Amino acid sequence: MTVKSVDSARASDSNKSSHADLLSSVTIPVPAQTIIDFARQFDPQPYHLDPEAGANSIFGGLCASGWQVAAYATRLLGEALWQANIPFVDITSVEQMRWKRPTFVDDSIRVELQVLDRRTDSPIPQCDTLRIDARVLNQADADVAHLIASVAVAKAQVS
Amino acid sequence: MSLVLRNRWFEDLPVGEFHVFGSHTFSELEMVEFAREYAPRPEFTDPEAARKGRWGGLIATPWHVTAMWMRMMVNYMEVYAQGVNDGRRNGAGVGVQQLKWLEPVRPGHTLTYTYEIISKSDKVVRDRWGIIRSRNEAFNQYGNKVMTFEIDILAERGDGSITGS
Repeated sequence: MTVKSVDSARASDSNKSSHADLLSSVTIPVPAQTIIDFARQFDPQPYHLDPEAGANSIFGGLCASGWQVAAYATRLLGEALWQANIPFVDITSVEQMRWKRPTFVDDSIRVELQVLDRRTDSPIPQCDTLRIDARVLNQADADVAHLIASVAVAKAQVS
Repeated sequence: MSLVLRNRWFEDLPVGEFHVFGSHTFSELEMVEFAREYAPRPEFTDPEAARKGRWGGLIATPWHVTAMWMRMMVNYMEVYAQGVNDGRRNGAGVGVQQLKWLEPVRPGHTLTYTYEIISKSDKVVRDRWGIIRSRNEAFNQYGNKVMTFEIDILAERGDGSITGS
């Protein structure tokens, strides 16, 4: 599926000579119980609850809700920013998110992100906004999801 | 209302169709439980830390607000499409755009979730699926919009583009 603004954002990244600003998160496993627990509460559709229904669905197996993937991705990218001493506060908007392939039982996922630009305002007080490109990858390094999102980061404290 | 999302073909879903999926009141407990897994930080998991924090109390994490939209949609489809639970004519979401969280959602707040079809793509996916774009919003009990996004969802075409395989 063509995603113009995502592709152009990535294209501009690839023009950079250095990828030193690529941040990587830790990897987390996504076991069946976690998928089913989330689905029961938020997305109780057969392919997120039952292996047989999943196998017969468009996805081809029991798989995580895309919203669960998005929530984990945001946790992971926030933690990756902290690791880089960037004081992540919260996600504030998502320009674009594309689900590329399902996350099946016992897959594991991680996030690779790059900061695209920074603004000195934010919907959250005393914060700046970072616009980021975040790719969610599975254990085979295949694309699971791709987000262009804005996050709030705390402004440096004036002492 | 006899409108049904799930057991109609792509061709039968008109631009402009509007639904109120339903309402949900967020409790402190469910906010904390969600945050423990998806945003494990004291300002979201500890009411006392949250009280002293930037929002002056616990708030729902952003994806919790959005995930509840999904639950409201599934509930709504089950009510209006009795017996259609194989996901056949209502496929996967493929993408989201312009998602914004606009106001904090606090314990006891009741959100009402709405859905409106805003466009239909001519693109045919895997010889079988069309793409429905909807605008989705959540309003709190004061009538303030707290979240908005657009989502593209696959809907099965009934116009003979199905290969029958």
